[in-house]
Amino acid sequence: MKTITITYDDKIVRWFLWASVIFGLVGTLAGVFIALELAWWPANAARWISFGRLRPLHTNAAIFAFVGNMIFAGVYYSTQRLTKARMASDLLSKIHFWGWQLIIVGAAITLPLGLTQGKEYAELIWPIDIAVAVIWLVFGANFFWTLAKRREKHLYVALWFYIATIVTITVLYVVNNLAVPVSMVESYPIFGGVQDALVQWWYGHNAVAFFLTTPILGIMYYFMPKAANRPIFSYRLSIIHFWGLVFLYIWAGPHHLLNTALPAWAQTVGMVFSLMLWAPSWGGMINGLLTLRGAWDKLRSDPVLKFFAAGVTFYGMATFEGPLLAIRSVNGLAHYTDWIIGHVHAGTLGWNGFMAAGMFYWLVPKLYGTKLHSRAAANYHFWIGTVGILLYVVSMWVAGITQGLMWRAEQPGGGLEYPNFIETLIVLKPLYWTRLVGGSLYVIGLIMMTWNLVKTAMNGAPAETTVEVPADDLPKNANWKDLVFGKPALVSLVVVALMLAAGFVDAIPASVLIALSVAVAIGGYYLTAKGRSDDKPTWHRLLEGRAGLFTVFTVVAMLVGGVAEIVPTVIATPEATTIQNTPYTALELEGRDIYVREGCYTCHSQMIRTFTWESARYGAVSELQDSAFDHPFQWGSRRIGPDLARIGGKYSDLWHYRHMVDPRQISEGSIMPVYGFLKDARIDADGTAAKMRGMRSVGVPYTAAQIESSASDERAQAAVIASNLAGQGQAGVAADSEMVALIAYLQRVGKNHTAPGESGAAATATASAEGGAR
Amino acid sequence: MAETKRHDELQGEIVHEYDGIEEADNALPLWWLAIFYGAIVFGIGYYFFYEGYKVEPVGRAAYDQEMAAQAAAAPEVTAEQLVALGEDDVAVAAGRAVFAANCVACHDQEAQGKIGPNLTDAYWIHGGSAMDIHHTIEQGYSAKGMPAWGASLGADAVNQAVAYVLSIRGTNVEGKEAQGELYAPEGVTTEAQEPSPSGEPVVDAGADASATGEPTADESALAEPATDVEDSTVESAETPTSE
Repeated sequence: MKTITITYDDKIVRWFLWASVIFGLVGTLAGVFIALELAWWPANAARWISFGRLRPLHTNAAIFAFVGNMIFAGVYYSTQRLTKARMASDLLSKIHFWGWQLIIVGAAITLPLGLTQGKEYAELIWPIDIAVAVIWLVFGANFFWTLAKRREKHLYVALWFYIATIVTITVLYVVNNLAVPVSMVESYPIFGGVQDALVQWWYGHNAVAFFLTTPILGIMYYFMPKAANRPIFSYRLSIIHFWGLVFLYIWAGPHHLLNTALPAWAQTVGMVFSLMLWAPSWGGMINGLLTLRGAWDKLRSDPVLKFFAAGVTFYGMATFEGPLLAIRSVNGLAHYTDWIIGHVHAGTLGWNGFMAAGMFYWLVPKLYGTKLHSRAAANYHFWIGTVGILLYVVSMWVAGITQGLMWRAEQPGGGLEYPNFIETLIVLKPLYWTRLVGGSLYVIGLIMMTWNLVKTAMNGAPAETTVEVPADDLPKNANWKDLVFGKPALVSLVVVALMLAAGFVDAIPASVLIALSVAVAIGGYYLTAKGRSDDKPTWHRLLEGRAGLFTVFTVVAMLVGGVAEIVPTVIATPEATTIQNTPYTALELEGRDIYVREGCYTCHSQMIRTFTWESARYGAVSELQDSAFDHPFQWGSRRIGPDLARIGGKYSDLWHYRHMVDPRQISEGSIMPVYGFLKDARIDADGTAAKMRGMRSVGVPYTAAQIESSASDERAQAAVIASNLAGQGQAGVAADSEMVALIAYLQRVGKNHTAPGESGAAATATASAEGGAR
Repeated sequence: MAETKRHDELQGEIVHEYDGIEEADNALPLWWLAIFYGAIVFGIGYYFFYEGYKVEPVGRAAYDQEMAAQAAAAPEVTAEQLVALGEDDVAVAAGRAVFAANCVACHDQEAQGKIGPNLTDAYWIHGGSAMDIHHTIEQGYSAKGMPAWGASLGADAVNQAVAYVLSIRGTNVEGKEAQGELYAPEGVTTEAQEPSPSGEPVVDAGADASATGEPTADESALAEPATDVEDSTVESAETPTSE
C-alpha cells in the first residue's frame, strides 16, 4: 500500500487550548463577581461593573470564549486525525483563531460600556455580530474543506456532531441577530414582541443545544474512548441519538416561554418536544458511560477519566432536569427563579467545564510530548470542582423552589401570603452566599488546573505528530439517488409531513394523521430492518461516506422545527395585536434604550404569566399587544427583582426617582444597584429621530410628523416630568437627563393599549379634562 | 477504516475503527427505548388532551376560569363592617402590621406622609369615608401613584389596613402638608368646589382626576398631575423609612 506522510497542525490546537484556559478563568471569575453582587449589593460599585452589564459579559465569556475555544481545540485536534488529513488551510486556521480572540476582546470592552442588543447570549452589538458570523464561516470553510480532502472514507460520529454544530449555529446566529442598525453601536432587531421572543429562545435554547452540547458530544466521542482505550458502546445508538437530537432539539425553544402570552399551541409543542428529548440526550450519556465498561477501575487513578465520567453524568442530570423543567406546571414553579440558574450551571460547570478539564489533562501532555505534571493536583481539582458544583447547584435548587413557592403562596381568603416581593428575595441571602462559595471553589480548581497545565507544558516542548496515511483514492461514493430516495429518507419524510399536516387541521383529522404518521414510522422501521443484510452496507453507512449529503440531511432535519414554529408566528402577526397600540414617544424610546443598556432585563421580567398569583402581585396578565412594538422584547428570564410588565402608572415619578437614587430607601433589603448617575447623564433629543426611523423600518408605525417633531416633543414631555418631580418635592432634576427618560419609559410600560373594560388612559384623560374645566 | 471484526469481551463485535477508536454495535437498552417511546406516546397524548380536544382548559383559559371563580366568591364589604373593624383592636393591630409592611415607603412610619399624603389629618384626596378609603386601598389611583392593593393583599388585609387608617384618621401627626379636601367623619361629604388648604379647587372626592388639568390627555397616564403642593418634608423623607 502506498502511503504519504502528513503532519497534523497541532500548533493551532495549542493556541485554542490556552485561550480556553485563560478565558475559562476570566469567565468564571466574572461569574464569582456577579454572584458577590447578588449577595452583597455594594459590590455594584460603578456603572461599568454593575450586575446588569457584567452578567452578559459572564455568560458570553463562559459560552463563546471558554467553551468556544475549547470546542475549537477539540475539533481541530480530532478532525485532523479522524479525516487523516491536516487542516485544509493553516491561514484560515490562523484567521479563525485571531478573529475569535479579537471578538472576545471586543465583547469584553463593549459590554461593560453598556453597548448591548438586549437579548440574552446575543448581547453583542451588530458590528461584532458580523465579525462572529464571518469568523464562524471561516471555521466552517476550513472544516468542510478538510472533510473534502479526507483520506478516511466514512465520517466518525464525532464529525457528525461537528457538522451539526457548524451548520445550525450559523442559521441560529444569523437569524436571531437580524437587526437594523441606527448607529455604529446601536441597532433594533427586525423581530419584535412575541416573534422576537420565539426567535430569541429558538436561538437561546439551541445555543445550549448546538454550542454547549453537540460539539462537546463530538469531543466526548473522540477523547473518551481514547483516554479509556475502550470501544464505543453502540454505533446504532450513535445514529439514533444523533438524529434524534438534531431533529428534536430545535423544537424545544418555546419551553422558555411557558405560561406566557405565547399562543398555547406553541407552548404545548415546545413542551412535548422537550420531553421527547430526554431519551436522545441520555443516548449520548449512556454511549459515553458504557464505553467505560472495562475501564471503571482506571477511574480511581486517572483524573482524565474522572472528569469525563463526572462530566457525562452531569450531562445526564441536566438533560433529565431539562425535560422536567419543560413540563408546564413544573415550569410554573421554576421559571424566573434560581432553579434555572442552577440547571444551567450543572450543564456549564459540570458537563462543559469537566469535559474541558478532562480533555485538557489528556491533551496537554500529548501536545508537549510529556507526562502530566501532577496527577495529585488534577485529582484535587476534580474533588474541589465537584464540591463547588454541588454547593452551587443545590443552593440554587433550594433558592429557586423556595422563592417559587413564596411567589405562589396565596391566602385562603384571597391575596398573597408574601405580597411584598422583597420578602421572597431576602430569604435567599444565605443561599446566595453558599452559591458564591461553590463558585469560588470551582474557580480555585480551575486555577490549580492552569498551574498544572502550564507546568506540564514547561516540562515538555511543543510536539509535532507525523503519520503515514494511505495514499490511495477513497472508494467510490454511493449514488446520491440511492440515498435521497432510500427507504429511511422517504419514511422520515412521510412521517414528518404527516406530523406537520396535523398542525393545520382539526382535532379528529389531526389524530388520524398522527396515528398514520406513527404507523408509517413503525412500518418503515420494520421494512428497513428487513432489507438489511450483513454483506451490503446500510443506508446510513453509505451516507457516512458522503459528507456533503450528510450535511444537507442535517440541515433539513434541523430546519423543520424552527420553520414549523416560527414561520406561523411571523406570518400570523395579527393586525389585531398592533392596531390599538401606540408606539413609545420619543422620550420613552430613549428611556427604553437606557433600560436595555443597563441590562434591567437580567433581573426584571416584563411578562405576567397566566397564574392568579401573578396577576395578584403584578397586575393584569400580559398579552401579546403589550410588547408588540418591543424591539427587542424584554420578557426576561429571571426575576431577581419584581416583574415590571405593569409598572407604568403604578407609582409616582417621585417614587421612581427616589428608588433609582437609593433603592433601599424605598424597599428595605433591596439588592438593586444604585442608578443615581442617570440624573447626571444627558440625552441628546436631536438623536432620537434616527432611532425612530430605525424603529419604523422594523415595523413600528411612527408617522413622518412624529419623527419630524421628535426633539421638541421629547423636550416637552421631559419638562413635564421634571416639573412633576419638582412639584412633588424633588427640584433640580434636569429635564434632559437619562433619569427623566427612564422614568418616562417606566411609567409607560404595560400601557401600550387600552384593553376593553379597563379604565386606562382614556378615562383618566376625561377626568383630567373635566378637572381642568372647573 | 479497517473492518477488523475484532470481538471485545465486554462490548461484543467491533464494527468500525477510526484513528484507533473502536466502535461496537450493541443493541439499544430496553429501558432507554421505553423512555424514548414512552415520551413520544405521552407527548402525543398530552397534545391532544390539551390542544387537540381541549379536554381541560390550560394556560390563559384555565386562568380565566379561576379568576371568574375567585370573583364570584369574593365577599362584599359594607361601611358598617369597616367602621366596626376600625374600633376593633385586633383588626387595627393587624392593619398596623400590614401598613408597616407595605405602606410606609410612601406614607412613612406614622402615616404622616412622604411620597404619598399624610393620612392622619382631616384632608383627603380621594375621600375620607370608610368606603372611600377601602376603595382607594383596594383599587388604587394609579394616575396619582397609589397602587391597587386588593389583589396582592387580599380582602382581609385590605380591610385590616382600612381599620388601621380609620383608627389614625384625624390624629394629626405632624408631617406632610394637608392635601385634598376636608372630610368631616360621619358627616356629609363636603362640596366638590370647596377650596383645599392649598387654595386650589378640588374635584369630587372619589374622582380620579387632576385638579389643575395641566397634563394633557396622553400625559396624564404617565405623569403624576402636579396638583400636589410643595412637599415641605423633603428632609425627613430622605431618612431611611424603617429601622
